[in-house]
Parts: sequence; structure tokens; C-alpha cells
Amino acid sequence: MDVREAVSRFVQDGCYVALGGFGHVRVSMATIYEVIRQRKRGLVVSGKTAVHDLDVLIAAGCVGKVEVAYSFGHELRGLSPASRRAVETGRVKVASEWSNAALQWRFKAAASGLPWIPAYVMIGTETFEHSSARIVKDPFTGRPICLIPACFPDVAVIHVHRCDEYGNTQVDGILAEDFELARAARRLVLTTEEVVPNERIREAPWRTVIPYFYVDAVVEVPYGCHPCNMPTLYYFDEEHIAEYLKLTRSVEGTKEYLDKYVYSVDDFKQYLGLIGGAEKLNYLKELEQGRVRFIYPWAQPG
Amino acid sequence: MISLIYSSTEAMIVAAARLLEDGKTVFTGTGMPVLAALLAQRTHAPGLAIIFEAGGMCPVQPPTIPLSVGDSMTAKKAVMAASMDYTMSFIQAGYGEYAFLGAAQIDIHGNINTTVIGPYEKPKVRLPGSGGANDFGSLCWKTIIIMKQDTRRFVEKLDFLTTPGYLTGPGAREKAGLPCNTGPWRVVTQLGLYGFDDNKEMNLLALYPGVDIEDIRGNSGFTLKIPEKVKVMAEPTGKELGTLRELDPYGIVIRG
Repeated sequence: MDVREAVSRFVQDGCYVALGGFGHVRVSMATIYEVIRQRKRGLVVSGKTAVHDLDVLIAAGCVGKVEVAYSFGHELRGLSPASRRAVETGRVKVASEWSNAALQWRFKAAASGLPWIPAYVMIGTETFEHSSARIVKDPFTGRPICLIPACFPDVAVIHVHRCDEYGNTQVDGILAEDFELARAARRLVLTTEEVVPNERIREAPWRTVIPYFYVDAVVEVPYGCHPCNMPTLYYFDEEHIAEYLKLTRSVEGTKEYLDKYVYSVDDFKQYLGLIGGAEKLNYLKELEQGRVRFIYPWAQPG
Repeated sequence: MISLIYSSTEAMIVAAARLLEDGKTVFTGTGMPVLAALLAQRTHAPGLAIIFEAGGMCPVQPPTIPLSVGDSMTAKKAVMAASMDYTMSFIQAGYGEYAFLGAAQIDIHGNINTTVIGPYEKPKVRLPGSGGANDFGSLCWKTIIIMKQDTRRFVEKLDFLTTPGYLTGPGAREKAGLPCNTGPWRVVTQLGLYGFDDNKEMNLLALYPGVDIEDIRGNSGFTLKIPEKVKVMAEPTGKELGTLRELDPYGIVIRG
């Protein structure tokens, strides 16, 4: 299957989407650009640790609501101008507030087939009051405990290092929330750097983190995470992210960015040509290996 | 005797690093906290275990500081590349000794806000939300808040209570159901180092050389407890500054 078909079949207007990876690490940017190209609207997004992935969707007008654990920020790079604008003007609504562990454990409950999972987070705060968690008296200890309801996203989209044609998946580096998310979502779309033979999986079955049962689509998209970091393979493209952050400070700039990098290309391969092609991609690989100088254009004043 | 020149960011990082103990675990975010943890490791705490909530556990010093708590630098030659469920379960079971938190606003009991400035329904500024902060604030034994101090940040009442400090005062955390004996332990700002007294109210422990009491009082929206005799922190040493500048060779935090 290609990205166009996967998005067309599995991402509907208004559906609940959870993006795998960690905001700007191992995220399926290829899928996100296609969602934008197909002009999906009213998406409800799980803001688990949503950084560049969510920001681009919000900038493009695809998002209606967000359940927020961490959203609208670019971690060390600062706040996301496009997301802030959307939330502060009310175009994007915040449906609920969570902590990282709480949102992660919602997927864990769902993956375990349970309606909720107990925890000691969020207690006593307004974060709790804006969530759908409940506090009850623990029948064993007699003390208050927080119950976190399960979350079953309509679709999860996860970018991985390798999987076979059936979806048996290996991930290198941290899993972040994907071990649970892959099992919590009703539909799972995998984009992968590489499709490998089934035999490769069977040679080391302890390395499988997502077995085929949960997978609805496998799409091979090398560099599918650009401009974000794909651990062990390629680092952030800070130049591109800086361009994005600068342009999205304004509505006109946002349109310029999307026209140039999303709407004017038919697919992700054409996009890779625009961002610097093989030369840029090789540079990002060398950065990941620590072999060349790091540059942070957004850290410069102005 | 050469007088060292350093920024207030560097002074804060050094003050924070000195708080960490060898052999303990510390959960950290990007920016000043990760530099403080790495500095502690390179100076007095070589066995400090640095853990990132997204799963990177005890990476060896990477070629550049992490931009994200989940990026590849957090797991370079790590002991384990785990998951968020793993690290959060780890702290919920009591293995989280120290954690760093940032804050847009803090109140006298160490409760912090990283959700909104202004009313929640129509915020003046929408901030990223809790992230892992509420988890660290709820579950870690000793949290260290590292933030800039001024009257907009040290406030009487938070616009939103994102992460629990001592809530309303002594006993409140335990009554609400949070684990016993956990909570905020220190606050590090560009003006001073704070702890929490028996009323669970912020009190001044030490100030930086060159800062006076009026700076402290004038930059707080609530009344800070100030002792009769105020301690002055020792200046950063040449070794601490040199090590710190090696850890952030591109200056993205210390010259930010």
C-alpha cells in the first residue's frame, strides 16, 4: 500500500488520531503531509508528546480538538507559533488535560483490554479536573487513588525502522509510547524505513515489538520522519525546522510553507528533493553519528 | 586572583548541579536541567543515574545536548532504551530520587503552572501543559524547580495548578492521595536557592554573590521567608564553568 491509500482508507474527517514516536522523534511525517494534502478536517489528536507532528497538522487546519499532555511546544526550541495562534483564537479546542504518564497509561489500559488503570498521578491538581480521570477510595488501602480511563484511538500512525510485509516490527532506540499505543488503536498504520523479509523477523523474535495481528497497513517510506529525528539513522534537520518555525509566525508564512513543501508535491519522494535531497540526507546521517558540527539556526537572535 | 565571568544561566546550572547526590537517580528535561545533571556527573557525582522519561536510561555523554527528552542523544550508549511506561512505572514504584522541573508560575507552596497564562477558557498564552512535570511532581522523592524569578512568576495564586507542590500546606499531599514524603525540595532561580519550611512555604536558603535581600523581596509576588542571617553561595569554580562550557559546546543553553 502507498501513503495515499493508507490515509484515504484509515484517516477520516473527525476521527481520533494518535501519532506514534515522540513529537519530533520517530514520527511519520510522510503520513502527516499526506493527511494535509487530502485536506482532512476536524481531527481529534492525542497530544501525548506532540511537537512538530501536531504543529504541522494544526498549521494546515486539519485539527479540531486536542487531548493535551504536552502540546503546542517545540521543547528546547520554544513554543509553536502556529499552534499557539490556533488555540488562543479558539480555532483548535483543548478537549482535556493529562500528564505524560496518565496519557501513556490510557493506552496501556486499552492494550490490556481494561476499562481503566489505577495510578498516583494528577491527584490534587487542575490537570486532573480537566481530565476524564476519576479519584476513588482504593478498596485495599483505603486511600484515594486515581483511575485513568482507557483510550482507543480510531487510528494510530507509527514510523518504524523495519517490519516485514505483514507488519511484524522491530524498533531501534526508545519505544516512547508505541509499545502500548500499537495495541490500543482500532486501526494501525505503519510507515517503515525498510520492509524486510519475514525470515529476518523470525531469526530474532524477541526483537519484535509489534506483531502483525495489530497492523492494518504497511507502507515503505525511507526517511519518512524528515525533518525529525530517526534514532540511529538520521538527526533533526534544524535548518528546515527553523525555516518552518520562522514562516509559521504568520498566517501568510504558514501558507507559503505548506504550498511549497506539501501542496506543490505529489508525494514524499518529491518533498525530499525539495529539502536538499541526497546531500542533505547524508548530512543528517552524519549528524546522528556525531561526525559533523551541529548547527542551530533557531538559537540565533532574529 | 582572576575574577571569573559567567552568566546567570551558568550560575543557576552550577547551583542546581551541586544539589545532586552521587549514586542517585535524576529525571531531567532539556535545557538547564540536563546540563546540571551532566555537570554533577562530571564533578562530584560520577555515579549519578540520568534518566529521560521517554525511555533513555543513563546515556554516556553525547556529542551534543538533547533537544528533546526523547531524541537519539538521550539513549547514546545508554544502559537501557526503554519506554515511557517503563520510566513512569519506575518512579511510581519509588525509584525516582530527584527530578528537575521548570515553571511558568510558582506559588508559595511550590505548586506550579505550565498550562496557561490568563484564564483557562481564553488564555493569554497557551503553554504546553504538564508533560512529565505532573508525574515527577507527584511521584519523585525530591523535585528541584529551576526557573527565572520575578513578580510574574512567583505569584500568590497560579492561573492554573498543573503540577502539585505541597498543595495547600502540610499534610495536604498525603490527604489527597499522593505518595508520602514526596514533594518539592529546592527552587533554584537567578537570585537565590530556596527550600520549604515546616509550613511547607518557600524560604530562602542562600543567595548568589552580588544579590541583595531587596532583589529577593522585590521579585516575588508572595512573601518569602528570609532568615536573619542569609548565606551566600560559593561562586562557580573554574572547573565547574570549564566543564559546563564543554558540555554545551554550541552554547545553545548557556548562551541562549
